[in-house]
Amino acid sequence: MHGRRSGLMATAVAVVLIATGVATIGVWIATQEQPVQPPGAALPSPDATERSDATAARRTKRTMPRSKPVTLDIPSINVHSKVQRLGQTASGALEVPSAPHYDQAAWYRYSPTPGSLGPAILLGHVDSADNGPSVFFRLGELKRGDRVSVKRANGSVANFVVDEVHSYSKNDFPTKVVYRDIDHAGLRMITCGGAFDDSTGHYLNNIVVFASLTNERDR
Amino acid sequence: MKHQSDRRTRTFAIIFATTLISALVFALAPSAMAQTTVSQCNGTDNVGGQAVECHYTITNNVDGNDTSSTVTLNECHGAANDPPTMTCIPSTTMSSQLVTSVDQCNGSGNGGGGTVECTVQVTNNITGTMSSVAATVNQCNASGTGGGTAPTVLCDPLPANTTGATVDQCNGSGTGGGGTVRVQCTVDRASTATSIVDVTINQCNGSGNGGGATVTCSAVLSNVITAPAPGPSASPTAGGGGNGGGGDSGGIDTGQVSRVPVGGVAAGGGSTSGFENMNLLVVGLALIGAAVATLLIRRRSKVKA
Repeated sequence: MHGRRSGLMATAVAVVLIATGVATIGVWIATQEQPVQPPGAALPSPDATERSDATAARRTKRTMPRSKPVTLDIPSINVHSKVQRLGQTASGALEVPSAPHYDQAAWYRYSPTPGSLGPAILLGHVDSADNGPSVFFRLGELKRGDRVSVKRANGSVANFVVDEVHSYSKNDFPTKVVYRDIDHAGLRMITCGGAFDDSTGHYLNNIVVFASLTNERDR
Repeated sequence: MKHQSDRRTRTFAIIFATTLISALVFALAPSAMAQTTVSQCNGTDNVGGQAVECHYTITNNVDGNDTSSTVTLNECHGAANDPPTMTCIPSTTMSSQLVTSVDQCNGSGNGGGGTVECTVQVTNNITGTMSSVAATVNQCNASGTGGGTAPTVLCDPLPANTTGATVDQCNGSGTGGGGTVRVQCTVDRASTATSIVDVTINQCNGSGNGGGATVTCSAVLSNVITAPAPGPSASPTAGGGGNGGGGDSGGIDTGQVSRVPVGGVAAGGGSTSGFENMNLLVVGLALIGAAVATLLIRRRSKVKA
């Protein structure tokens, strides 16, 4: 009788342990976030940013005087960040934010300031080995028509509307498409994306968001 | 004595270390663009009656950080005043490096009756928004001396004695006396220079100095500047664009983005592509392991009973 009771007890304990273990593993699986990837990797056609679609209609030919970016806001993906200023590495690549500003967005200081004529370049990390998701973790979720605001040093705000979101292989990065001269005030936001290469510790792609200055104020 | 020797050894060590560090710094210093020098036909054909005839046609291409060059040369040697018997070696070389220095036909054709005939034509195709300036010239100075019927020198432009000039040619040449117009050198007056591809031409200096020798050299330096590929309907001349400040090395001015970066962006540390919160997984597996152990122990007890 005593043996049977202890057997039932042991079984009950085992069931509870298994249930707790399975639940714990379930929680672990649920916390394994992955950055969202944009759907396509195709290059924008040469006239992509001139299409007479809804976003083109919202674009303005107006440009703003030069003023350096201070903060970046992208409400749809909950980004609110100070903006650092970075240049190039010795090899000519874009510098990326480092500690203690690793998780902040940065403006490439050899590009136009956001709101002035040309493609202003902002970049940010998608994640980090130590702290997980970073400032541009959800950049790939942006869709055409989403809003981006950049507050500038002179107090003005440059409001942009997203035109395109693309994922490009780093090995075949379309430098000319991203950095070429344009006839309006544009914005390019760049982060990592695509598959992660464990052997190098880097993602294989870059996600690039193309946006244009709009006359519309923040809603 | 020993003290003096120690001091000398220390001095040598310091010099050696300084030299080594300087060499390393120089070798590792980042370069905005790879550049190179080409040279041919220098210090050659200095026996009487010999002729040297050399030609360079060089095309440099710059588009953002992409650079390339094509060098076509033709090097000929033979008897003076007998072109059909000259032996020529033509060649064409392509490279990712820009040719920024051309050095040819210096100290050559110095025998009596020698002839020196050399040309350089450089074309820089640059995609960007910079401007060019007129090329500077230093030529035909201290040349055509030693007697002979004037004019012994026929050069254009002349006078041309700019220090550190873009084109430096035909100086100290044709000094052995002899015939009229024995130094004949020209630089195309439409030649230009830019800071982006800073080409220098150095040719026909100290050459043709034997009696009756002749020197005929010319240089053309063109910069074809094309605005960067514009965006749709973009006006290449529209506005300044508020470019960023300068200061860093690397890259060249190409337009609204004043220094076009190389390649993609390394903007991810990768934790989210691996596994986070591994402790949760470990706890879960440990709990399941404990459950299995509990069941095994219970089963063993049952079997014993």
